[in-house]
Amino acid sequence: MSGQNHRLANSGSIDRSAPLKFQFDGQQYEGYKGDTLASALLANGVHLVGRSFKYHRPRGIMSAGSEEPNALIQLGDGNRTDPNLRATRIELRDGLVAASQNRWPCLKFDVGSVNNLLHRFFPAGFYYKTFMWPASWWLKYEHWIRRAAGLGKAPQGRDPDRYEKTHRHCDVLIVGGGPAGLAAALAAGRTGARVILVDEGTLLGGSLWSDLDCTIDGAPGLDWVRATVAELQAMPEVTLLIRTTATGYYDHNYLTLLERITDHLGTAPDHLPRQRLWKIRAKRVVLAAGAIERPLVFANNDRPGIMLASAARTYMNRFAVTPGRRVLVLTNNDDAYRTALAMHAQGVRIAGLVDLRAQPKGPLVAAAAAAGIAVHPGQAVVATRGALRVSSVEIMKLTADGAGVTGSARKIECDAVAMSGGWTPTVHMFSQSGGKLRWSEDVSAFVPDLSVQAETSVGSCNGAVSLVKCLKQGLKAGIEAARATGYKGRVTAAPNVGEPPQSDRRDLWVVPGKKPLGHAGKHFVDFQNDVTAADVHLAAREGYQSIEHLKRYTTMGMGTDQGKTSNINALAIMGEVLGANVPGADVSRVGHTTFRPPYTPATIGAYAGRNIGAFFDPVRTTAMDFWHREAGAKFEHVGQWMRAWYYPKPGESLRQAVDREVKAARDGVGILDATTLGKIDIQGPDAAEFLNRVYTNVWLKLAPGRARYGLMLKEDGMVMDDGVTARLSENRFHMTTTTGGAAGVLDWLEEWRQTEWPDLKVYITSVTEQWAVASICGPDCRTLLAELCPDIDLANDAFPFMSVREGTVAGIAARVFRISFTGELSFEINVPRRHGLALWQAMMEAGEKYDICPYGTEAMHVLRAEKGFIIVGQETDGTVTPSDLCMDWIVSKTKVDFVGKRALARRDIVSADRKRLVGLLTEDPNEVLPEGAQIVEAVQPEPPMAMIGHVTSSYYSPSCGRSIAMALVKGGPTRIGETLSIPLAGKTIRAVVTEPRFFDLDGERANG
Amino acid sequence: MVEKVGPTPPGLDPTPLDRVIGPIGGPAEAGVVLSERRHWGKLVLRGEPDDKKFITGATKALGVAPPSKPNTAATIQSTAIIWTAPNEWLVVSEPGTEAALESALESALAGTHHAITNVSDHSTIIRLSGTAARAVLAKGCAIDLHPRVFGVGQSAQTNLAKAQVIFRQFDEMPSYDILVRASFAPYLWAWLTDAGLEFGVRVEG
Repeated sequence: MSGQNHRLANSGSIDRSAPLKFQFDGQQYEGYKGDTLASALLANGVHLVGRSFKYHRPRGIMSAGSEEPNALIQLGDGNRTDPNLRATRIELRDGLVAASQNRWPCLKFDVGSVNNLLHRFFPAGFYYKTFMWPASWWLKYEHWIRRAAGLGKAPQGRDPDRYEKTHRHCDVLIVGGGPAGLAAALAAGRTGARVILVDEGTLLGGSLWSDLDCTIDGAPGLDWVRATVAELQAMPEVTLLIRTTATGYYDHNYLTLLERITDHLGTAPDHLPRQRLWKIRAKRVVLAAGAIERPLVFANNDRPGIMLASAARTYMNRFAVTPGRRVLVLTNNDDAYRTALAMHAQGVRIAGLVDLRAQPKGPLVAAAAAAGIAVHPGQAVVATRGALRVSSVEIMKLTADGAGVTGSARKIECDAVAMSGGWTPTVHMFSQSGGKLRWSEDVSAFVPDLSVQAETSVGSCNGAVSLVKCLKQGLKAGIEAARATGYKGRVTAAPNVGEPPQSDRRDLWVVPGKKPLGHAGKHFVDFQNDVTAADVHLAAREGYQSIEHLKRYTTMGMGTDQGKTSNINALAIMGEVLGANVPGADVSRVGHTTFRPPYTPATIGAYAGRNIGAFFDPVRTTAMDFWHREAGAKFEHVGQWMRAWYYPKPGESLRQAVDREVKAARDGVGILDATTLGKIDIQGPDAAEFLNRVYTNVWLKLAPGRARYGLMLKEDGMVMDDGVTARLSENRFHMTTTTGGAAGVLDWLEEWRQTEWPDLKVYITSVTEQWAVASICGPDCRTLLAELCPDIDLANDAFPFMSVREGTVAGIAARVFRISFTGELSFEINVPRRHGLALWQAMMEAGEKYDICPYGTEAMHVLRAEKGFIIVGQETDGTVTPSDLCMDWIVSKTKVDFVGKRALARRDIVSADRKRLVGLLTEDPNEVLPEGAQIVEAVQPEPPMAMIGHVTSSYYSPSCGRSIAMALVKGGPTRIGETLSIPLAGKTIRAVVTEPRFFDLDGERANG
Repeated sequence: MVEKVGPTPPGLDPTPLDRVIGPIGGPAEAGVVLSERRHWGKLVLRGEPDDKKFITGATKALGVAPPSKPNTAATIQSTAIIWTAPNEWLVVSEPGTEAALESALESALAGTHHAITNVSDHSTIIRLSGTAARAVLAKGCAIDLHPRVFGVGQSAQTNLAKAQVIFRQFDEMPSYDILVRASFAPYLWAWLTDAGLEFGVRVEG
């Protein structure tokens, strides 16, 4: 191990007093606090960090930011491992364990790199071409392709980390903490506005950490950064979020931010989430997202050691690391001169400064010459050498039009190349906001044009190329945003800025090589997806000229970096290809692909947050839940409710328990927790009229103290809910709904009341949870209730079926309904929820001598099916009318109107061909049909067969001593007596059609 | 959800949280303080705000006018009258006072179009207090709770995590009374405890 042999002796903002040990691909290295994994690797002279996706070519660190296409790292192990992290964004910490990806058996010798030699067999669109021919080979291809083309590895088990989400509102959200963003925050913050400034890095100040040649008000730029950050930190209404990426920009200025809270800590405290997703509603947004430098597209421009010139400057100035000892600079603009000068000043040898421009001039060019740097104007790099790291380049003179090279090649030894192809504004957030972009000749890239949300772009993401413009635009946008949200404040004057002036750029979208494109080395455009300039040409030739087609055909701009460094180069090359064929076609006509969230890859866990495990969905329980648990009940989910399903005795199966429970309910006394049914209090002089309109039957003449069953329809005539509603007094009703339909019915009633019948004097209030309900049934239930209820006369005459009484049960004030869902004599006792458990326990105690038997929802289903009572949602599915249920008796013929009435007269609703409810009795009485099974008239040897209906409910009925089923069948009751077939896998069951009622056909039992 | 079985304290009626709330106590410096307000009276009061007879009658019975400003609460002694709709209020009063209040309202409102529904058991109240109370709510509630926007006397009907709630802020700490349907209370209690983890949670009796 050679140590940090590329670390500069001084300078940088790393903490040299805090050395850190880390591991990369099993080897130990050292770095400092303040390093990224990338800067620490470079400090150790490590450039080779990965293999490319398709060709497995050796790749090095190309950038110093989130645009990194190459340096993708697998971090951590076990279920805490994270694939595809960018080394440029991983903060170094002690004990960090990192590994390269997409290589086997190791990074330096990778078997997959054979793909590079076979590249002629993997042209652009290779993946799609495998779909086409020969078709039978696809299954073979797919297996091989998927194994070969993986990047990192996903963890196998459950994510052990904690993730959270939070909501936040603010007046001004500023995305980006560089000079423009800080200026905006300062201007807005000084007005007292609620400001959030978010930056994905660890330090606010952006480019000022790298561009040390700038001064603000005569002092180093970083002095201004420190003073500004200190002022912002002192403002109570300003929130500065670092290590936080603005990932998405949605409608109504709703943005998501992903904050990495503990990723940099190594061992995180248990009480903190690893990451937090912020859901921000901002009144105004200022986008100060910066710009990303473009690589140059020259032959074999992908060797390790070749990086962006601005990144090289960042490594020098911020991290005190030089990318090489002999650095070649290749540029089409002035900015790379700053890198060369910074390196030169630190004693790094500049092997040459190759400038694509024929006659570069200006102060930076002069400074380079004065420093003795060998500048090669009008030259191009035409070849690079070096297996695992660049070792030399060849340069040649460009022709005047830049389309070719002339003369002889000259070789220059180097161990790093710093390239600069100009700057691409980071317009992702702007574009996600819906804003329209325009092509700017000034920067040769897309810049924000028309905003559609309350948002402003400032600084280099807005096409500004100088620090002074960034600061001015930021200050202006900050004060304007604050003023727009109602704050007052003075304009902050822009400081005096000293920075090197920059002149023109020469865009050569493809730097010519010694041979025609594709014949001497690869001109990489998209480094992550191994898309070359030749691939873009091929796609154009094959007709994939739309930029969206180009993306899908070549995979250009896909992957974890989403083409941050490659998109502009690719579409400019496409523009050139098209321009040669189509007059007037250029890059501005090519357009751009869609910018989609998230801006950088995000952990799925952050989007799930705490909505996992017990928090995935609330579990609702009744007041008697504790008793059911103690009794060993099995539970089933009914919506969000947890209901007792059955109460098995030791050794009992579901069927045995249910048979016993049903028998007890029919022969003795059974008790059911019926709390979950929806309950609605309806009051007002028009309450009866209201019910008359929402139910199909008549309600006006229902006497106080009496109850009635009702069916509720949607406007389309389909059954939506049912239940018993009782008239408590002249103007007050107690409605019950199905368990699952409770919330929907309340909303439905409110909607009709508010929007259609505002004239009705009626108020509706949910009381579902006010009441705990114990439903008792069976021949002995009246005797049992009489013991506990001294103040209600329970005799048939005094308290007839379908009535309600108020009284006292077990000393608790109760509403007692005499209604029945089992067909037996039955009472439903409602008490305030707090007394539910006491009521239940009292019933169980007093019922002991009657062998009272608690029964669950399964027995309830059997009991009701024996009687032919429907369950909405089981016999119905939103396409079933009352007539389909053979319940025409409940639809009033005399009422002027009710919801759904008009639809019931539609031709296909009255058609004789509709599926209608019938009973089915299997030929084998022990055969229980599966619910949902399809019914046919004639069985064919194999599907398809004409299906005429399906089984809706099916049980073994202990009361009938055989199986029973209900079904919706075409023709319905007209088929009674027919035998139909239910073909299943491996067998066919035959069943006879009957009335959908199986027990107590004359309904005598309800009277006890 | 794992239930911690803690029985109802002797002499009290059960609440939905009896078997959910763990031991009373917690760090003194906790940023989050939780407690259940057992069996406070809750009446839904319905009536038309432009009906002078109704407003006069309600004001007489309650001792304070039902608030007309949306999402605010009027208070008189320990009673809060929370605006929940243009013609709907939720009257929250000391445990055991609801029946008397209901009759007082019924007689004061006789002859007006109104409705009173006792919903004392329909929901329970979780009191959330502490320096981090706002941050805890922000984890599950999309409403802006910044003191410039939402302060003492204001109320909201919204979702907190996956539960429908009504809450009102009643002091500057800030402290909130959160009304949640009885069957959702165990979920919400567990959620609040979890959301408070990073700030420290103290449970009070």
